[in-house]
Amino acid sequence: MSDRIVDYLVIGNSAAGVTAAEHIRANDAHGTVLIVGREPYAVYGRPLISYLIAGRTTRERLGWKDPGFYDRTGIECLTGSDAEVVSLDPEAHTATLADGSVVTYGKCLVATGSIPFTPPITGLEGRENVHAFFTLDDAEGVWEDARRARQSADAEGRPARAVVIGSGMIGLKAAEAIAGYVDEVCVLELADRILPAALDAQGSSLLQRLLGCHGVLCRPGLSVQEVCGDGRRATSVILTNGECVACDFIVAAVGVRPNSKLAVDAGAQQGRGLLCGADLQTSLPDVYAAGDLVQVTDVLSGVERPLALWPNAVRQGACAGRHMAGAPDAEPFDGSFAVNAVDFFETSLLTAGLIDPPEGAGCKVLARQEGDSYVKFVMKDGRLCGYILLNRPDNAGMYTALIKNRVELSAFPEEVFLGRPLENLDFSRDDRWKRLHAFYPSHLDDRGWKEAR
Amino acid sequence: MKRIYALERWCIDCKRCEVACRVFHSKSRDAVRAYRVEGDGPKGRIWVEGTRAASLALNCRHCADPACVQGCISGAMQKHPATGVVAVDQQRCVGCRTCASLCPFGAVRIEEVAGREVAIKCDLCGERLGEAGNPSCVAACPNRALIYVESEGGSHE
Amino acid sequence: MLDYLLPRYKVLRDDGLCIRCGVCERSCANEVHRVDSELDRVTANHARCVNCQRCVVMCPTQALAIAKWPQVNNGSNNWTLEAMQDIAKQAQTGAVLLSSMGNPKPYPIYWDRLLLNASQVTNPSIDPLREPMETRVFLGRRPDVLRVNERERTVISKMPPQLRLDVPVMFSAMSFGSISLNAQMALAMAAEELGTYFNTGEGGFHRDLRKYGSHAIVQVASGRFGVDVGYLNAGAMVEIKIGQGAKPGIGGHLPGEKINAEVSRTRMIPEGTDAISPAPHHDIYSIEDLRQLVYSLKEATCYEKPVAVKIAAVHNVAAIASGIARAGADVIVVDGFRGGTGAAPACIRDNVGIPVELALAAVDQRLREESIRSSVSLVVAGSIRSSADVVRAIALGADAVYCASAPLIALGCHQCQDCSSGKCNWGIATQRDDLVRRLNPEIAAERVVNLVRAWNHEIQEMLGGMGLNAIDGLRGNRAMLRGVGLNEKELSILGVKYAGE
Repeated sequence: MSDRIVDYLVIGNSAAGVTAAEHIRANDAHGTVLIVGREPYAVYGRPLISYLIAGRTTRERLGWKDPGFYDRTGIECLTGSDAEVVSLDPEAHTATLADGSVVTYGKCLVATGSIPFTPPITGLEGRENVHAFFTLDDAEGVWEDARRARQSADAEGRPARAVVIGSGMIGLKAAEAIAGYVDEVCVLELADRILPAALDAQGSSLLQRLLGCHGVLCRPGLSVQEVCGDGRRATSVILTNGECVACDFIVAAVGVRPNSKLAVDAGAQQGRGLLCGADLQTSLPDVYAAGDLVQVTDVLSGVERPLALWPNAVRQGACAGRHMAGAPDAEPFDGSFAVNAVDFFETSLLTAGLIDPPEGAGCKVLARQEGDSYVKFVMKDGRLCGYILLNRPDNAGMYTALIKNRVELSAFPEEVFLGRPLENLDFSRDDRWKRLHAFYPSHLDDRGWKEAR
Repeated sequence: MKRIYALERWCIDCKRCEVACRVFHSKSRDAVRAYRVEGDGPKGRIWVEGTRAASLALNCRHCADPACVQGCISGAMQKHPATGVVAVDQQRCVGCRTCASLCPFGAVRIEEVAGREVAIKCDLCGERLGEAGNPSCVAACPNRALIYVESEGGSHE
Repeated sequence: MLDYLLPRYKVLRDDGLCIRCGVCERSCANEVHRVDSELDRVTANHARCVNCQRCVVMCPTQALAIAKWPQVNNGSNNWTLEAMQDIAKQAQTGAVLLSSMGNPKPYPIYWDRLLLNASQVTNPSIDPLREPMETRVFLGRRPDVLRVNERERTVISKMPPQLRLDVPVMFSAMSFGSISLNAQMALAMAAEELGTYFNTGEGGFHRDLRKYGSHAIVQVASGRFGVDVGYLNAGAMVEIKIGQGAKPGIGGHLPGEKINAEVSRTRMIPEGTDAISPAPHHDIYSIEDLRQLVYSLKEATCYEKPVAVKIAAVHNVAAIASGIARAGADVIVVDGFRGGTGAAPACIRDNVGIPVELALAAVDQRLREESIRSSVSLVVAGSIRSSADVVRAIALGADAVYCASAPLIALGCHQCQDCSSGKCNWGIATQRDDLVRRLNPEIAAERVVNLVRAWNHEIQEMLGGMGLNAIDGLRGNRAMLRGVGLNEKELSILGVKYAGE
């Protein structure tokens, strides 16, 4: 590819990058926008890969945007390994691609997301049936191995088995997808409970039981000591307790870290992620960042850390794009908090904010488990700051809004937490009107009548 | 864009809106078939909260900057750039519940449709995705507790 | 104890159409319907049904109809099922039987025996779509002599206070308390839109409705509820209510449970106490006493507002009307026994009074004979059902009509006659918040406006057909009427010829 000059260069063709490009276009109709992405695909819903394997969506429906998106919006997109940016020169405002060509930009967005963390386990590297579970290519590999495992197990008259290392969202979604193909999925988790970042102990143990009903066997407190195998293929793992577990393939999903090397090499300051101002500009001039690699302030805990969640990436992309294009109404990025929505088989799990506050943090906790449902609310200073809704999904977003808007809870009856889902009618009359009547026509009164009679 | 507004001072908890919505979004668009043949699950996109003493119909507000669209991992939930209608493409939706976890009004629910869990929400009774039609809930409301009127802003992000 | 009573109605539910949506259950304040999910059907407690037909109208699949309870009677025309049920009720309770709305008994309806004329060949008819057609009416005393400055085209004579009606139809008195504020507001809004008047009844004038004062007639009745000088001056006319067609000789009784905070404040009586309007005005025992009240009210309103007197149509109505005219009233209202009420003893409603058509003809005739017809306007009330009834009433001598049942029907009333229970499912005759909310005055007012506009168009068509271009030409013009199925005496009282004559 020949060298080129663009107004906006977006590095990363996923949620943050594409959203940013969209907002740049919305605020700058004529500027040239180039997205470069390492994966050879148009933007797709990365979290959909587990649904793809589970047969709940198809390759055709993975696209996050419609097929005509790039043409229609006049956003140029280069994808594939040649288009990977290998270096960035913020002084010269240039980026060098893997094929050696140079892109000179006016403003640049680093939206390279995160990359899976490879655990230092003996014998894990170099096996063709050990997969991460992060990209579409990873998923294709897992899918292929899952089908192959099924076939050979049937042929040999034995159960098909898979091992998943890590029980975060990614690991568990992988396990759920794989469970449709193999007979036993063994999920190993170093921590003492599964989904440690998004659940407390009680929730974890309930979820562990519910997953067990579907052939997903979670084993917290254990990890893999060594992967054993036969040349390029792993055939079993030895656990930290010495137990040996046979497997047809392995998914390693122990976590992700910010994919910030490009920016850091160019001189960008990094904490637990890239450090950005309220306009999401990095410490480098005209270099912005958005998505998983940015360190954000958790508005609930005050902790600074990257928040590797899709909605967060979209919000940051929108914010960065607007600032890059100089939109007059661009607002500062004011932090975020975690909201997780996920389902495993028929179990729904929604969590947000602080879900497991330490003793002495001054939090009030309401929790109740009934059968297969578990509900927990965490409050501080009379305001909601976190929840777990396991198998009680109704109106979860309203609780998220309570957290986000720092709503004073004293006016709400206590039953709207453990007793029944919160409803719009639980808000005061004035608040209801304000919430539900945005953009209400000014010539109508609250009776819907034309003039004040 | 035209929006549906619920006026709670006229809402009488009859739930004719719920019936009309479910019927319009049924396969047959026939009330008896929708309720008695096409399955029991509530497939409406409008819900009346409360009791006869105080009630309120709730459906999608078609927000200016919808949290459900921001959060959608599949791209199924979109705000139509021209009409402002927020609608979900059920073919692409995988029912991950992110939208439901973000909607501040509880106006998106996950229901089983044809064996798949998908997001269900008000589509303003459009015949095509992202196009508004004549909302059947408004037509069914006996007391103008639901009005469908031109709103002032918020059509575009 | 078993009360020996049969249900009056039976709910017919087409199970093939019923979708168990529960709209009927939530629509019925009488708790007739119940969705039984275990039985997977909707059941009905037929005995509670009052045939208001709210469920029938609300049902999304039209699966409902209400029928008479199918019990046959014993074949007797004397001991009818109805008569025996009344006895059973009284044997159980020992109470006066209460009912609502107007006299439902099969007395002759003279309107239906009077036919209208139309022009043929001579005296050509007029097309109201092409030519002006006046339906405006003024109510109140006419000046004895009208002096006009012809050069400046102005009236020199001092004109007595008058009401200007753009349509010859007003809305009869219904108090806030007997009907909901939303119902009264709907009529007020419609009156304003139509250029006519609504009547507060004896329930005071709610502050939210005072802005419609220029289209309000404020009533002074025997209980004097809500009356003060502000009230008298808040309306366009003051009406003294002596009697009501549905219950002549009887006062009113609004039970304490309907006196909520708003009703209490508007009526100026304590919350929760019974509002009892005495049968007579305790300060009126003669025409002279009435004259005192008429002039007291004129004093209080600085002679700027006409004063009307409303009486029920009773046996010697013509002589009473003559007295009222001489007592200084500007408008006489004659209310017939088919006129509605929120509550009346059934024995009174069904048996007292005379048909308003005969009363109207007699009053108009008497006032003419005494040469005082032009000193007073005549308004007739009591079940005006259609534009043709309006035309007949005017031809029999009325200046305008009052109607209430017809606009209530436009609001949704299905004449179930259960107003007194306070559980009106249409939000009209109730003070229960959840039921009152069912009547959005904006919709209700539009419907009433539509109704009266439609009537007015029809009145214009009928006038044009008779070759008249103004409603003034019809007033008392009995030549435009012919009777059918009437005897000599009836024809003579009505002052009309038999068809063919």
